[in-house]
Amino acid sequence: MNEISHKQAYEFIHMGESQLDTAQKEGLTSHLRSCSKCQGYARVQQQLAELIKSAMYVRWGGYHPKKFNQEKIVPVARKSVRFRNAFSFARTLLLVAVLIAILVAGISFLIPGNIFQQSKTNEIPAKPNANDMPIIDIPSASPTPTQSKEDELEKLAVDTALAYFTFDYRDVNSWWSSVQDQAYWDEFIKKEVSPVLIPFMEENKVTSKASLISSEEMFYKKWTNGDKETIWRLNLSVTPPWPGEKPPFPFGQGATNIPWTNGEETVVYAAVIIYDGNTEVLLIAVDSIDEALQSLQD
Amino acid sequence: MMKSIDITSLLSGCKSGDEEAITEFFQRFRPDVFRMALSILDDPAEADDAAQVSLLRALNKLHSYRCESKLINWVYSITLNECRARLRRRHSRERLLHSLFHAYRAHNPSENHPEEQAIRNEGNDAVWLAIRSLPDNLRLTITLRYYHELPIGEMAEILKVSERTVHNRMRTAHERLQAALDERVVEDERDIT
Repeated sequence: MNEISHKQAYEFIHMGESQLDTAQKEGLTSHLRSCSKCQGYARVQQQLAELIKSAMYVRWGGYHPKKFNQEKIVPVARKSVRFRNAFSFARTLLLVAVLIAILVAGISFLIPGNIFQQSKTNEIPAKPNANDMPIIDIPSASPTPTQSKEDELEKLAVDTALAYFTFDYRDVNSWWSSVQDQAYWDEFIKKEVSPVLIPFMEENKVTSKASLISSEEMFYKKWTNGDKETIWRLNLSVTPPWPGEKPPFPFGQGATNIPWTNGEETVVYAAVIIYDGNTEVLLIAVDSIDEALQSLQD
Repeated sequence: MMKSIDITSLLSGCKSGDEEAITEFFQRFRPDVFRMALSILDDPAEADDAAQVSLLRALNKLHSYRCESKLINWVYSITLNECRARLRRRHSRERLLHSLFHAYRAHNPSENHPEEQAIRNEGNDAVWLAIRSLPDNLRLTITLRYYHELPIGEMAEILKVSERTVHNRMRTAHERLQAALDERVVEDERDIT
């Protein structure tokens, strides 16, 4: 930094030699050696600085601060500092308290059931709209049998004109009904009270009905297997056709098989009723129950 | 004789109101602060008062000192503010006094007022008169430079201006002083040669 401008030289002169680093000093010395104008300026400024210093030292140099009155000043200073510290502590405490209050208020506002929301719940509730109310299906204590509509009935036609069985299987979990209809059974139907409705899930029992045709009782026998499947069996014989009142043949899951015999000719009407509402009917004429069972099993 | 405390312990002690630290704080900085106040106020009694007030103020503001500058320069800044406030009050008083003085002279032309006498005495020292005639900011700049002998960087820190501004003020002050003292400097040069 040997080459400096006049402006820089002026700055360095004003700064004073003691303020300059080595490079700046060298640059200024070199510049002053070659520039008489700046050299003169530097000389004048130096004299001026000395005059100023001299004037200031003469003016103020003789003055000194008064003797330090420790006993008087220090207690005042300590009191002032302690007051400031106490004030600062109190201010911090207040700030923290305010922040906590804001925080608690914020949390309370967000939590359900807070005092703000309680005040709302104390208001008189508006009358609910009927459309908004949930529909609750309350089952009656004892189901009431209902008459099936004819167009909903499943009909079984028997070629031997022995009987027509109509199964109204509306809901596998609720009702099963059997109705005798037409021809050979006309009188029977009148006497038997048509339709005969039997609760599907009743406990095991035998319902006896008098048959005008054969003077034999007709049995409706209900069986419930281990899977809570219920099987109804119609039989005209006086005694139960199957000993031990055990299911005569296995039943598929979700199906009900109904065999029937008039005592002379054994016909198995196997109505396989599937839980989804579809009914598949098998009509098998056999000579014996055993044969009927075998046929069904096949 | 109180033992010297390092600056960290001094700050910590002063903040907590420790008597020994506060005493050390006053004893350590009072002479410099007094000199600073004197150089600005040009009144030893007022400078002493200003120094005490400034040190008390600094003591109470120590929590805001960030150690980014020298502690003495930070105390100087506070002293400077205190002295500037006193100067402003003094200028107001002087303007009032000046008006009263002129009103008095208009009614008593022959009276030799003590203030006028003092001005005449100061006139004997052309340099001092020239310095005193400078605006406060320029006078303060050359005072920090020549009386307190502070580096440009620290001057900028205390005055809260840039180093460039300090340079400019120094140059302007020099030019004005030079103009005021031109004749005297020339005479001195003649005497030297």
